[in-house]
Amino acid sequence: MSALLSTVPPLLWPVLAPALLALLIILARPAPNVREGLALAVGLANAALWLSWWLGAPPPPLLLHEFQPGLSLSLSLEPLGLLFGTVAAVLWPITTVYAAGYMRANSEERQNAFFAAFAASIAGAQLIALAGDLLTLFVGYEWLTLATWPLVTHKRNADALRGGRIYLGFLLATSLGLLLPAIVITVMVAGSADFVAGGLLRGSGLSATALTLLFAAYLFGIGKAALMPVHRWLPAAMVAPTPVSALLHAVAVVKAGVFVVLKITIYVFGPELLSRTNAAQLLLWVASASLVLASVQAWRADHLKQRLAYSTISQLAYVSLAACLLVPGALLGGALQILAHAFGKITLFFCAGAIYTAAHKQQVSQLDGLGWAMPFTFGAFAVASLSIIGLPPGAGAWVKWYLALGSIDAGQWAVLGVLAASTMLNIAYLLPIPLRGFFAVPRPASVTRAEAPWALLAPLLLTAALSVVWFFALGPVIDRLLLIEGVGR
Amino acid sequence: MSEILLIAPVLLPLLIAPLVVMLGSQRAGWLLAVLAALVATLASAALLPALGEGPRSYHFGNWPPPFGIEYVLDGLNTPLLLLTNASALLALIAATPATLAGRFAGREPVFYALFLLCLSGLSGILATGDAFNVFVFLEISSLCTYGLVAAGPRPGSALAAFQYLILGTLGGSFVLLGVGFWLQATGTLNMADLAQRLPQSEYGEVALAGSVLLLLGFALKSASFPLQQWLPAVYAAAPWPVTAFLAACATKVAIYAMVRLALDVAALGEAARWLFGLIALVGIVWGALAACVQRDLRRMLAWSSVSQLGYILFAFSLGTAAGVTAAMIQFFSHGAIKGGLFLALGPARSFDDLAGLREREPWRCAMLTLLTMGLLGVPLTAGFAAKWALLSAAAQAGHGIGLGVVIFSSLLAVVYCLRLLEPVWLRAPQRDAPQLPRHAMLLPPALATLAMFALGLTPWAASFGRPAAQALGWAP
Repeated sequence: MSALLSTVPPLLWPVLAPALLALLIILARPAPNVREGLALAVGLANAALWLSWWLGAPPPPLLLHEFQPGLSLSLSLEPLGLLFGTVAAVLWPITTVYAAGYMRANSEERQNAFFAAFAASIAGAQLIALAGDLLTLFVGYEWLTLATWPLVTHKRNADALRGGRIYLGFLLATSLGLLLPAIVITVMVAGSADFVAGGLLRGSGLSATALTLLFAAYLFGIGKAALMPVHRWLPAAMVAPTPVSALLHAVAVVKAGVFVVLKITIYVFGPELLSRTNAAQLLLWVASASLVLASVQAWRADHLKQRLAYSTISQLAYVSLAACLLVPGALLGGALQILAHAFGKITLFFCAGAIYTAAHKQQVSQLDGLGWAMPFTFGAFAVASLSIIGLPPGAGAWVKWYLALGSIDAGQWAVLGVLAASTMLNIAYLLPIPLRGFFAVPRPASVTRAEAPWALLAPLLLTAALSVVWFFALGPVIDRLLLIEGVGR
Repeated sequence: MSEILLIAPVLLPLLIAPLVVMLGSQRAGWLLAVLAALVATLASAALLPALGEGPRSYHFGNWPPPFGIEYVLDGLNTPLLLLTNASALLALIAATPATLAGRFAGREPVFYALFLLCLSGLSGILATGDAFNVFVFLEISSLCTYGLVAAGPRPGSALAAFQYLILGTLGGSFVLLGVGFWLQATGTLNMADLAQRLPQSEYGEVALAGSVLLLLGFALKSASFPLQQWLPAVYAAAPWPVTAFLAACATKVAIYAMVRLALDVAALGEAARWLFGLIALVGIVWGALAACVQRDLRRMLAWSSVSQLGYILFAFSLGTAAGVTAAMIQFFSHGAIKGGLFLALGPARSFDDLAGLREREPWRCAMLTLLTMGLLGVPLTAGFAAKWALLSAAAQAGHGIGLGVVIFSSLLAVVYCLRLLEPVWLRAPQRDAPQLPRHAMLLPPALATLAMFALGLTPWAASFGRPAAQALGWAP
């Protein structure tokens, strides 16, 4: 058995293991306890594998299949992919515990299909993280889109159907309509689909206009990054059960989007080429606008998950903004956002799900005074909010720090203003939620604790704690990211 | 031996067909038909390895061309011969006497004989090097198709077949007139001979009129825009294995004939390619738009075919080796995907029939989903390989409009593919869902699904690009 296991190249495991798990759940239909135990075991082993790659030397690249010379399926590990893959891998088992609790507490139907599609989605996300070339990246990207569709439509009511249509329509249309043509043109111009340190297109001799158009095709084609106006799918996806919103639509799917944005910027164009030709200037303003407008939308939303969804759109725009600033500090900030926002936002969604499960409340305006009944949940919400806003001791503080440094570095003073405005808006739409919970009404004389079951509470406390831990422990992550050409000085 | 191989795919079904009728038994007739299609498939597969050695020809009765009838198998038609026979094989496997469900009251052997004759006709159009022979085989295949369509289960099947007959006869007459004009202008019917004489003919206008008539005839048979109206009605009316067969290869054979006669034999060059590009691009968008709004499941897939066939014609219209490669991939890709879809759908006709398939028939649901992914052009499937090749070829040729149209139509494909997936995955099962064929019937669509992935993962179909381009004189 171990001989058989060792014949599988290590880079393949993060894709293969969740995919096999999904297949097993579909075909064998294990009992709920076995199923979730198995998912947890695979998730933990997967997380351990990713963490081990931070310590040791990275495994060698892997060529899976060659379609024709220059076009292949290949896997390779570089610091950015390592970061994204690890974030998804670490949060998956935590979410498995949460999902088990949530699905049982709300007696959701079709749990087998749910867990199978969940595992299949993780496999897609990890394929994106490990993709060694543009084609493999595209395979993982579409896989992730399709594997998450059954999750978005899980409830199968009219809302879910409508949400599913918008979800699949937006993501497939942008990827087939813009991303795929952009990839085809890149491969034609560069003669290869590989990711190259310093930029695949560096020596291509494309004009500034052509580069601007191509860069725009990528940025809007990567619909998962939810840059306005291709953001509509994300609020629509909120009809899914909360664990899906938490891991997929706050972490795996959207982070896959911004990860691909960064990956394309760094390895396909190269910051040097883009800044020399000024190709990203226009998109800098699109990202800035997206950032502020989505924050305003979040501020106006009363439905808690909608508010978090618009907040996600705004937070993703930070990464697109970083990709357009093109200076090392900003790119570092963008990469750290993948980590910081993931832990912060998953906590917020976990809290939203816990509130729904324990109190059946979904609107912000209904939360007055609920904090005394659910102090841990609202406490975790407050901590995670700090991280999203970018205040110490949340990990998000470093993101804002590096982005601000980067925008000064790039001489984009207006962007500094955008960052400040957005921070104000973040405070305005996030902090009122815990404040309402505790202080909107005077503390009742006798409080009955009504927290969600432990399976929901433990994960959200853990992720909230981790977003504080990252504030102090980002050093090794930054060291690794600085190895990337274009991010390190 | 190899001599016989050249004519086996055409002659074998032709000779077996009367035998099937004489045998009289349903079951034996079916087995014999499947066997004939299998041997014809193997024979056409055996022709592939020697593809690089240039065209091979067979002279009937040892009469040397241009006096006798000649079969010429080159890089363009040999792969299509395999596609046609393999599609027929899968469709025939599905068309068991049980599938036909006694609609023939004991005359099922006639159905199988018609099927084999139709196959023989299509193979004949592909293989022959003689212009009049093209007409003969066209009529054989068309007449059989009318019969096969009329055998459909809908009350309107006979009417649909009759309407198709009228249009088809019109198309056939155009072809006959065209061949006659060519004969008048050059005094020959052999294609290679025609290719030499047509440009030098002193009756240039007659030759040109002949070419136009031929193009018109085959544009109708290939359902090229704007002559595509018959296609949805026929696909909706025919028995489902017949629809699968027609969808997989029949219109493609007509496209082959258009390309062969206009671009190779008549060498109309630039003008014809421009025309092909125009009708292809309009058809691509028109078909996809129409597919989005259809209420009938099969009509939706039929309109999608109109769009997808446009890809092939557009690829040829580029006039480059890369374009021919894209066309060859799309021939096979669409054959496997659309044929497979109709096989997997079986007798299902409306979107309601598909409701709850995920619970009722997980395997059929899996295949339908995968084939729909192929139609969408999701990576790893043949549909993606075809789209990639087509986009590259269009970009290489600097055809910006074509690039845009192909992209736009693939967005529309998202809409109509989603319409197919939604009932399969998300709707609750209906109580009066039609009885789908037994599990054994899953073999043909399963093979088509496998073929779709094999085509997507290997450069097999792309390897025909070079020989096919050589056959058209577009590659050294």
